[in-house]
Formats: sequence, C-alpha cells, structure tokens
Amino acid sequence: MAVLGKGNSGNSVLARGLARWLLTREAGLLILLLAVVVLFWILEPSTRQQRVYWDLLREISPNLIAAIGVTMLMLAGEFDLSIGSMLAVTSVTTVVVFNGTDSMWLGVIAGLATGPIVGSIHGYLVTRQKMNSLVTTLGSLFALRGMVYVYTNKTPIVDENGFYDFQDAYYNNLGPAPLPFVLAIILVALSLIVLTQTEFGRNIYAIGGNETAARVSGIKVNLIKFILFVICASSAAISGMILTMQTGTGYFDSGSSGFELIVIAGVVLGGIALSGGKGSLVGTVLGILILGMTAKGLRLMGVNTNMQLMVTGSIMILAVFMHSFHDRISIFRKR
Amino acid sequence: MLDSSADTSGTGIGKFLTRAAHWLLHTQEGVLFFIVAAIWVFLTIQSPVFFTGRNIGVLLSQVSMTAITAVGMTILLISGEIDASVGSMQAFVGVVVMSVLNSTSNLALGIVVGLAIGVAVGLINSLISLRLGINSLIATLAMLSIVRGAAFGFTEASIQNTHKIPTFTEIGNGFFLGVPWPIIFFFAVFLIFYFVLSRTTFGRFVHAVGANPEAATLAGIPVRLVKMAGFVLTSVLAAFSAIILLSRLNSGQNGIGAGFELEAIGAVLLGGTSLSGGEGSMVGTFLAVLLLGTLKNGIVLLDINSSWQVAVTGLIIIIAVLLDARRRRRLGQD
Amino acid sequence: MPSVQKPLLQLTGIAKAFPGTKALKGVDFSLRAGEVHALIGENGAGKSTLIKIIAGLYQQDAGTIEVEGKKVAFHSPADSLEHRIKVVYQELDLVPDLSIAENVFLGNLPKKALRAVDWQALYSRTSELLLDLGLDIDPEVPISALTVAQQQLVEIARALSRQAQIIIMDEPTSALSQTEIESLFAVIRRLQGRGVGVMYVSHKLDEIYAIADRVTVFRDGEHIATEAVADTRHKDLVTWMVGREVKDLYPRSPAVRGDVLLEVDSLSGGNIENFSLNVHAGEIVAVFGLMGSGVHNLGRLIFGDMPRAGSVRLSGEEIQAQSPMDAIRKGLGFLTENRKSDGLLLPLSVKDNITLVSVNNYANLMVINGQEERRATTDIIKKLSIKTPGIAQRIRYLSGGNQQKSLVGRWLLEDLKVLMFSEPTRGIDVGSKAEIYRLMDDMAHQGMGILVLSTELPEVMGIADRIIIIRQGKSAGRWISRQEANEQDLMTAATVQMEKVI
Repeated sequence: MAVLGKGNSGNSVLARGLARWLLTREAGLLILLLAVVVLFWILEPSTRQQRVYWDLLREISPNLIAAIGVTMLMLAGEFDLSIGSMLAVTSVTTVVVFNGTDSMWLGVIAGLATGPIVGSIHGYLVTRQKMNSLVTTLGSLFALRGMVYVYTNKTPIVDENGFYDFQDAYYNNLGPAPLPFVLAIILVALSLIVLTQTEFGRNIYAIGGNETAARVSGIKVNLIKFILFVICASSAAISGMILTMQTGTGYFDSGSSGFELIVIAGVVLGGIALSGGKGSLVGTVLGILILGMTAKGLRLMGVNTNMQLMVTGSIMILAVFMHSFHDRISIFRKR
Repeated sequence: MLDSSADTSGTGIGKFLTRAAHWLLHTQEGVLFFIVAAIWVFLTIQSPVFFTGRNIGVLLSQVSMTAITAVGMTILLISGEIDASVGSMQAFVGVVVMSVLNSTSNLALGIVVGLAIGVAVGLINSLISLRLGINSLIATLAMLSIVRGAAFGFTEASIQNTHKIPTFTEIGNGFFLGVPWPIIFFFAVFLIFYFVLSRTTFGRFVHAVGANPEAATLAGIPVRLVKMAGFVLTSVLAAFSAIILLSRLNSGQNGIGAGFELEAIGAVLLGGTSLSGGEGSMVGTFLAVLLLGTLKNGIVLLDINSSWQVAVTGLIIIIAVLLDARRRRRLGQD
Repeated sequence: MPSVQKPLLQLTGIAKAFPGTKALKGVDFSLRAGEVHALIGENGAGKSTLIKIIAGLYQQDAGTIEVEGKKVAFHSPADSLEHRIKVVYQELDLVPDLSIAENVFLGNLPKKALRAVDWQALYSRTSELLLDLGLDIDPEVPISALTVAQQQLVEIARALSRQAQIIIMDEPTSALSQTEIESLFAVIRRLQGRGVGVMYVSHKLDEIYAIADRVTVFRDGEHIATEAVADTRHKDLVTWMVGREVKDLYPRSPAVRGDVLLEVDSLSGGNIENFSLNVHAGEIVAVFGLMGSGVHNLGRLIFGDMPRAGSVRLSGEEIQAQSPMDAIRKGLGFLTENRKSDGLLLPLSVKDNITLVSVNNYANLMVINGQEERRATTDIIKKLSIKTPGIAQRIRYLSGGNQQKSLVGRWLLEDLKVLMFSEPTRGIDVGSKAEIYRLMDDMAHQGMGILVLSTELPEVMGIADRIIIIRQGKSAGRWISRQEANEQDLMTAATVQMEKVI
C-alpha cells in the first residue's frame, strides 16, 4: 500500500479497493473463467462466435438454478443429493398432467409443486427426525428415481397436446438473451439479495458457521433448515421444468447421469465450504460457468464426450486446492 | 464391579438371551438382522424358489461385487475418509484387464495389472486428500470423473473376450465344491477384514485415527499411513470387484459401474458405520449388503416390475437411517 | 450494595433429570439488580444444567422461574432472550466467519424497510457498544481475527445489544490472562453500577472474593448454601463444594532423587524462546505460567508435536523433532491440557482408550491377544479405581475424573521414564484431583520423572519439588524447592508487569 504513495487519494482508494478485491475468491474464479475462455478462443476457432456463448448460457441455466438451492442448503451445512432424481419427477409429473388434463398451466403448476412436496419431506426427516441429510437424500435419490421408473415403466412420456408455447419458452429470447438464462439471472439476483441483505440470509451463514451459536441466539434453526430443503428441491423442480421444455417429453432418466454431482462440483468449485457457513452465490455462478464452458469447449473441439469428465475432475481438484491456499493466505493477512 | 460382564444377571442361556435381545433391539445390526430375517421368511412363504441353494447362490453372487468393495469402504469410513471413485474403477479396471488378457493371454498378469491399478488410484486418492488437504469426498468425486474419463480414453467401445481363457470365466461363473467362486471370494474377504478390523493393531489404529486424529498422533500412531492404507485397500478391493464383474459380463465396458459407488457407500452407512469416523461395523455392512441383495432377488422372484428395485433400495436406506436416528435419540446419544 | 426489592430472577425448586441421572434436585437461586452472585460447585454439581434451563435450552421437570416477580416459562432460547437474559458461554458461541457486528446482533439484526438489514445502523451501534467496553476495533472485521479476550468482550457486547438485565457468565476467565481478567472485572463492575444482575459461575474461589457479592454452592444437584461473600471463609466454600474436609489434597512425600532423565536444552518454537530444563528420576518438576505464556506449547514442543529448535534428550538419547512416535519409543509420555480434543477417543471403549499406546505389547504379528489386553486393562482399572460398569463401556459416558484417570492409565501401561502432564486436573472434581496427585507421587517414588505444566498456582505449590516460571515464552525464575517458594513471588515472576496480585 505504501507503493501507491500519497498522490490522488481518490485514485489510491480505488486502487486499494481493486487490490483487495483481487485477493478474493471470486476474483480468482473470474480469472480462471477468463483463462478457460481465452484458451478455447485460441484452440478452437468455432468458439470465436458470439452464438456459442448464448447457447452455453441457455444450456447451463438448469444447472445454475439448481445450484442456487444447493448453495443455500450447503451454506447452512446440509446437503441434498436427490436433485438429479427431482428433475425426472418434475418432468414426468408435468407431462402426465398435460396429457391427463389437456391444460398446460395445470401441468406446469403440478410439476413445480413436486419441489415443495419432496423438500418438505426432506426437511421433516432431517429437522424433526434428526436424520443425516447426506444419507437421507442419498436414499431419496434412489427412491424418487425408482418411483419414476415404476410409474413410466422406463418409457418416455410424449406430450400428446404438443404445447408449443411450452417448448418455445426454452428456445425464445428476450433481446439477445435466452429466456431460461434470464430466469436464472433473476433467481440468482433475488437469492443474492436474500443471502446478503436480509436477516434470513445472514442467519443461514450463522447456522452453517456455528449452529449452537445460532440456536442460543434465538434463531429458529430448524425452521430455516426446513425452508432451505424446500427451496433446494424447488429450484431443482424449476430446472426439471426447463429441461422438460427443451424436449417436450416427460423423461424418466432426466438428470440420471450425475446431475447432482455436476452441480455440487460447481458449487464446491465456487468456494462453498462443505462444512457450511462460507462462500458466496457469485462464486457458485462462476463455478458453474467454468465447468459449463470447459465442457462446451471440449465438445466443440470434438474431444470424446467423456474425456471431458477427466478435465472437469482435474479442474475441481485445482479449484479446491486454490481455495484452501486462499484460506491460508487470508489467515496470514489477518494477523 | 469391574468385571465386564457385571451388567447382566443370571447365568448361561439366560445371559445369552439377554445379550441377544439387547443386540436385536439396541443396535443397528440387530435392526438390520430383524428386517433381513423378516423378508427371508416372507419370501420363503411366498415363493417356493426363494429358499433353494441355487437361488441363494444367485443372490449372494450378485451382491458379491458390492460386498467386496463395501468391506474396504467400511474400513475407510471408520478411519474418517471416504472414496467415491470406486464406481468408475469398475469400468477402468475392466477395460484395461480385458485388453491385457487379450494381448498376452496371461491371466496372472491381467489380475496383477488390475490390482496394480487399484493400488495406484488408492495412492492418488490418498495423496490428494492427505497431502493437499482436500476433503476426501470432493477429491474422490473428482477422481470419479477422472477415472471414468480414463476408461473412455482407453477405449471407445467395449472390449470383447477374445482370449478365451477358461480359468478367467471361472472367476465370476465357476463353482468350488458346489459354491460359486464369487461367494467364496466375498466370504473370504469379509472374514479376513472382519478379523483385521476387530483383532489386529491395524484395526485398532483405524478406529483411533477416525475417532480423533490428534489423539492418535499423540499416541504415536502414524495417522497418515493408516489412512493411506485405508484408501489403497478400498481401491484394491474395488479393483478385485471389477475383475469378478468383468468375468461375469465377459466384456470390458467403459460405461459400467455408474452409481456403484452410491450403492457401496449406501450399504456401509446403512450398516451403521458413522460418516464422522471412529465407529462402524463390518457385520452391519454384511447385513446391509444382504438386505439390498435380498430385495432385488425378491422383486425378481415375485415377478414385480424390476423398476421397483431402485425405489425399494432408496426407501430401505431411508427407513434404516430413520430407525437408527430414533434409536440414538432414545438412548440419548444425539 | 443492593437494596431489598423484588429479585430480577428467582428460581424455586428447579429439578431436572436425564436418563440415568438427576442433574438438579429442586434448587433455588435468586439474583438482584446490581448484584454479582457467584454460583460454584464441582463438576456434576448441576451448574451448567441450571444455566441451560435459564437460557431456554432445557425445560425444567419441576420448579418455577420468575423474572421481576412474574412467573415465566422458557420453551426456547428466544423466550429467554425476550426477558433480557443473556448467557455468556464458556465455549464462546460466536460465528467465526461473520463480522464482529453481525455476531453482536446475531438473531437480532437491525432492519430497514422490506426486512433488509440496516448495515449502517448495525456498524454504528456495534462501534458504540464496543467503545463502551473499551474495545476500539473495526466492527466489520471477522471474529476469527480477534483474541480470545476480545471475543469475550464481543459476547458481552452481544448481551448489551439486547439490553440484557440479567447476564450469566459461565467460567468467563478460563482462557484469559491476568490483565485481561482485571479488565473483565472492571466491565462487570460497570454493568453492576447500571443495575444489571450478573450470575457468575466459576470454580476459581479467588475470583469470587474479588468480584462477587453473594455466593451459592451446589453439590450433586442440590443447593447447599447461599451466603454473603464477605461473611464466608475460603475453607467453608471448599467443604460445602466437596461435602467433606479435604485434608490431603497434595500427598507429596519426598522421594530419592536419581539420575537426570529428561534434558531440554535451548528449546525454541511457537512463542517459546531458548527454554531449558531437566527432570531427574524420582522428581516432580512443575513449569508454571499464565495463559498465553507458552506453558502449554512447551509440552507439545518437547513431545515433538510442534516444529522445534534445540535439543531434547531422554537418558542421554536425542529425541527426534516432530515425532511423538520416537518420543514414546524412548520412554516419554504426554497428557495434554485438552482431554477431549487431544486425548480421548470418544466413540471407543474404555479398554481401547487405555491400551491405545501399549496395544502393540499385547500383539503378535499385529494380532491382538484379547485375553492379555483385557487383563492389563482390568489391572489398570483396579489400580486407579476408575469407575466404569465394564471395560467395554464407551469412554464418553464416564465422568471427567474417570476419563482423566483412564488417560493416565494409558501411559502407565507403557514402560516410561518421564511423563508430562499439561493441566493434570483441569475440569475434574476434587476427589479425582487428589487421586491424580497421589498417582504422580507414586510414579516419582518408582523412579519416574514427572513434568507438570500448569496455570494453577495452588497445584504447582502443592505437588512440585522444583518450580520453573515461564513468562512470554522465556524462563523467568526457578525455585529449587517447594518450601522456599511463596505464592506472591511466583505470581509476581509469572506476571509481565508488577501488578496487583489476587
């Protein structure tokens, strides 16, 4: 700081602010994201078109939305592994109600309602019955998927009415921006305000940071956790709805290829601590974008779809290592 | 007063019955035993096929892969770590071993290469978790992706058996004294590591490093080395499972084993092993694997839509954890 | 002194049972405005249960709570806070990654329209509260950047932020230095002047004479006495707490001093600089220092649990740095000051805890001989009279004293030359204390060397043959024998400035 000298004080405040920001987790992630973009820009000419990025944002929207709920829940120190199966529950419910009632809106409402229902069950089991959330939601990952299999007999359910408005919602744009991405950004912004500017949001951090402290300070820990389980399953239901719009079918295997792992990977990459209480939603968004951009770039380069997994895994280790390094630096800074 | 058996009154059979009742009612193992027994009785009544040597053989052979991996996983979880990469190991070891066998026709070499992959992946897992200090759940989830990627990188299609070594086919499908080999492997692995965990100093150290790593360090126990052994053991047993699976499928498939890690970890947790380390039960794991296998078998025998398998697996995990949570609260263990 | 009026807080006939134990058997307690009322008792006396009932964490089975003469029922911490009662817990209940301000107003953040947090008000009000307590610090700094003493003040600021009229302090000084304790007392006196009632829970009798107006003693969940502190003798308090007169707390008898066993030469590391000491066979040597003096680090450095410079020799053999394993192999044992975090394996049995270090002795090719192990364990349990229903009992269900004895037993099974005790009797009852001291004496008589690292002056004076003072990581005085040391001199040597000694 001494290097900045006396000079123009306005400038130095700005520079100091920038310097401080550069030491944050989010700055590191943003630089990583830019590095990934630049790398593909150099390696793969097709990524030099603007369209590629709009497509990426459209495709990544379900992950972003599901990651909001997962982030909030993990900040409070709890988990939901069942979000992949939730996608299928929502998808199948929506199209079944389409066909049964011939009403698009009833279908959408029914599909979205599966979120709060499943979330309430999780919330009840964890807060009332004191069950470990990781194992409980591992159980419901199987239970929900299995019920979808049983109900559909593993056949996709076709939308007999062909609700094109429904499918268009996925492919339409608002200005240049894809509609699903607009929705994702709105939800992210709202959640960010809740997390940083309301007492409810701050209490989530308090619970994750020290649950006993939160409890003895009169914070209603169980109620907040219950609400978070509902929010998490609901955000997964919204993701499921968007994926259903994309194909127009109720798909029993929606999200079965490790959706929960990809989302949790993005969240952890974004700097949310597994033990709760630490991290920001901005980090999560960047984490999801980094993983999405990497996968997309590799796909465009024609790299074996599954080789992408290898790269994703390596990036995850790198990022978590970066975070632990960052933690050490910030402790050093404090002293 | 100081006698360990002082808490029970009566003698001989009475004492035994008191203890058995305590085990049944107050432990996770007891609860599982009760559920398994009930389902076995039910299935025996419902289906004439269930309680036949042949069917039990099929049932146990089918669960042997999960069981062998779960044995390693039990030890690893008790030591306070976890390995989520075992699912992808099924694919990677499978494709590599099959191609080694095809090109060399040397069974011993193939098996050694397979187990060596287990050692290598286990070492990498422990390096990332213990040296870089990354939470092992995250580290091995990343490895799950990496190893799966390696399997796809190794081959784009499945690798068929062109070597036709008869002994290789025996591993997953043959019999010894009328008992299928996979069951013999399963029971042998289970018994060996049950003994290791409960009767050896290594087993004691595994419990200690999981219960309190700092206390273990101060007691002169090489904490990292013990945990590393746990990682390597789990990975090697996962590789062994993969070889049995390979023999049963008779081809190396790069997509196999998705969700296998959830099944193995789920079984261990269902068996009463704690996620926080230091506590666990090999017998519980055994019973949990048996329970999951019985459910699958019963669904087939009763001619129920096979999709129920997945749903019932999930419901059983939830019910067992629910019962455990209630039991803990009743005993005030929180 | 407080005038006679309705008490702020009146507890009558409070009872609470847990599976297997009756924690409180109908106790009374009252607190007046502007009063400091101390509550003392051994571990297991029911102090913490009572605090938790007042805080709304537990509900009493019987009895009534009245606040300012009105009967109240607490179903949750929120109910208790509602009546302006705030507990300052022994284990600080702060959220490390949140800012000071957010911690002060935790669960009670100032809000603007639309339930948004009013950050400006939050920070300015926090600054005011902290300045009032004499802490000039940026309220946006995270809690994890503060010292323990500063965190304690944040806890008190938290109580003030809720305009608490009843503040309950649970062993507030256990991690504070002498100077910090003094400033805490100054804060308490200011609160007192404002009419706040303070319930002061402690086991340090000196502090009670320094700060409290009245004192209440609990024993085994029962109310024993409530007296004005000025009228109570030290001896009476001890007798009430223990239930009998403790005559021979320190049974040290002279032993034959043998060869030098442990030689520590120019040891540095942590905040320790250039520290030397030695321990002979048959001798109990104590290092005394205040909190933060480095007295606890000393043990970790010698044992090799922290990186160090300098040499540590046992019977002339050099012990490798950073290898507790090597230290143990050469005959050095170490009981740390944190029984729970560094010593006990809570999920495991009494037997597994006791034989943790020595299990190799009963094993052949790694296979444990169960019979031999059980026999060794049973012997130790008998020898140390550890109270447990059986060797398979999980150690988490034993009392603090029996847990500590089990940890001593862990080292007795090894063939040790020197055993180091860091805070040998922290948090255990007087009865167990006397037994631990007796064990030390026995070990010394059998030719072992004992090194005690302690912040408890009476303990050091009572048990040690030689005393070394540590201050700010450096040696600050040595007494060749216990007889020539007096409390005043030791305290003065251990304290940085020459300040008033309690």
